[in-house]
Amino acid sequence: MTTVDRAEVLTYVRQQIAAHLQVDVEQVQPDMPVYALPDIDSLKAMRAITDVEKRFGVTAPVGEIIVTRTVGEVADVLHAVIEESRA
Amino acid sequence: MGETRLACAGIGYAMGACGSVESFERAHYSGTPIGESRTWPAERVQEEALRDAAVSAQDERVVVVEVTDGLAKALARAGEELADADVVLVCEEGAAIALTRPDRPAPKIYATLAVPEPDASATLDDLVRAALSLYHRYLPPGPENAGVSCPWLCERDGAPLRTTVGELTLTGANTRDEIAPVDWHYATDVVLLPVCGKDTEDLIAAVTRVKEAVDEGADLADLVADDAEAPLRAVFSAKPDAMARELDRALTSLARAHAEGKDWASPNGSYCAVRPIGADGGVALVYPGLFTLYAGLSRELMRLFPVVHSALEALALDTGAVEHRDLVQRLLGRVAGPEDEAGLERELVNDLGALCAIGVGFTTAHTQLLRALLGRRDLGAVGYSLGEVSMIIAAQPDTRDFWALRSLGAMPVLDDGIAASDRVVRRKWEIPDSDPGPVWGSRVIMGDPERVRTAVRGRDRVFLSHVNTPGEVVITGDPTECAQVAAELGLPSIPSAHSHVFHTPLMERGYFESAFDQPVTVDPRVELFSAHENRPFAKGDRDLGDKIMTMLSRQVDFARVVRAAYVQGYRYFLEVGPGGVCTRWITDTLAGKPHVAVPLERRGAPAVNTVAGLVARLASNGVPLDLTPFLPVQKETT
Repeated sequence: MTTVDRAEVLTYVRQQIAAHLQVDVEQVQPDMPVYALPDIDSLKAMRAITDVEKRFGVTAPVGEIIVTRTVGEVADVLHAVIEESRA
Repeated sequence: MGETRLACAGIGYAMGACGSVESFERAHYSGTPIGESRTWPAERVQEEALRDAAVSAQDERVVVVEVTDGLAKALARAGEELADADVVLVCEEGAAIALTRPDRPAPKIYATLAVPEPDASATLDDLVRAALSLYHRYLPPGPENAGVSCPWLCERDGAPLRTTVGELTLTGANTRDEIAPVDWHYATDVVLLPVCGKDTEDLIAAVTRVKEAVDEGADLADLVADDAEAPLRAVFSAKPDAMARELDRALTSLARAHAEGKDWASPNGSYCAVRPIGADGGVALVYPGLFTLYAGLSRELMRLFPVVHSALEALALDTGAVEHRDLVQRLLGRVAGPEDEAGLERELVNDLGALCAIGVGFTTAHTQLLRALLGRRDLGAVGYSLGEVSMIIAAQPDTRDFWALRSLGAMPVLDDGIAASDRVVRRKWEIPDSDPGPVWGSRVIMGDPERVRTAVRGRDRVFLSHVNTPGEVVITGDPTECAQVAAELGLPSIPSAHSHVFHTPLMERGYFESAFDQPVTVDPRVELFSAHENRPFAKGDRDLGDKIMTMLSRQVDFARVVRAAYVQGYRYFLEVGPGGVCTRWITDTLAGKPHVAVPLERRGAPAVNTVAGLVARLASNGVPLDLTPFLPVQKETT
């Protein structure tokens, strides 16, 4: 069984969101709600999370969390799903 | 000599660490590096080629030609020998191809080829790869598809695919989908293994026995003891060498899940319902809105089920929607990064005619696949917004006509995509072109629809356009006012990527002119649920076009449509087409009620796992389903 570090997931989530928003990763802070990110829309958020899912080989219930959670909380949900898949 | 034509009817291959044509071809498709040659004897490779061509070395006149001085010269010699031979076996170390006359009957003919001048530069290895690409109809990895193999659609005229290797021209002959429309085992190692029990305790005991047998090296095919009537049926999804781990996973967590009254599921798609819904629950297909097409849609699905590939091509050719062929080909490829992905999707939403035609093509092809897997056509159908047009078209007994789609795409309100809505809004609200905008947008709000309805009441530039679930809505209108409404409500919200005037007072029925005038005939076995009146259309209704126009002109309440289908007895909701978004909305809407909502494909998820999960869920809940194509096959004993 291999595990993945929560920090690694968070870093990747921030990088992917930044890439899809075409902003610097520093503008995607863990305590920021996803919906409050600069120039965010539902499709950009979905694409970013999909890239994270692909990277770690999981599928997560992302639909609602991208609207209601912070970047860090989204990473937590993804991290939990990844850990479960590797258990 | 250049006029000589031969058929490539069989391939034997041991090149690379693959061991068979199938595994070589799979590695070739997926881009997996192929290692050093195996040490198969030449006889074994030749036997494979002859067996592949259904030719017996004993009762046929087989001439063997060794490639010693280049393939072209060998083929030229074969051409001369073919005058007297039934089969010419062209061999090189690790590879052999059985060539016949093109008119010779054979179970499969990969390609026909013109024998070139003797100085052509093709190798036997090139020939094998090209023939396989034509047979499977995939474009080998290359710069035009970002280095990933993808389905290869026929050209506009429907002519066979053609390629060249060196100076050798190959033309596709038979194709994989003609021989194996459902091709699960060829495309993946994943298998489904059902295990049955009278109750959870009995099931756990059965899983334990199966696990022990697997540990002792039993053939998985011998462990299939399926009983569709059993009270509990776990369906495990894994590659054979990982099946023991999957069974272990069940042994550690299934009993606990059932004790808590929950279904058991694994990330690989394995499933065991705690209280199976049973065969009496109706099955409804779900048709999402058409704004969700994405790059890579169905690329892997076509591989697992070649029938999807052929259905999509047939629809394109039959309906005349082939002008979108190049766009579909790009969708099936891979995009290089976020910018390319966004660019392709932007191109699509700016050409709603193409978007609708392509979306309907995929959903109709998916519908045909699910009908084949379920072995039935008495299905319900639920659509979301423009997805209702998809559901009607897919329910036609004859889908050679895309009903309203061609004229719909040419309507001024659609023909330049999202920009059309901008024009409508500026005209109606008298906003000058000098105002840079944006003048129109949508926002998803997570909250009670009634609260949001109250908040927009009395406003003339914000409308509640979609109720997705009891806790999620979309408001549409002036983007600044939309944001204000969300802020005032104090509810989380996010702007939608795309927005049109559909489902708002700005959308007038007159914008559709005569698009829906043509009557449409629907298979009477299909029950169509519409947001027009949040109930099924009457059977034989000849006026569906009028109702669709009305539906597109006012608020859509998807949650109510889903509840209407539930009340009518539908318990299984299978989403076709791109996305999987409707699946989540159905799950939220029917929370706490026994039901299954699953997509056939989900953006970003491996199609193998998604489909395996869908089949496992249905089978575990007791939906009559032929699992044979997914079950383990007997190991070869030779």
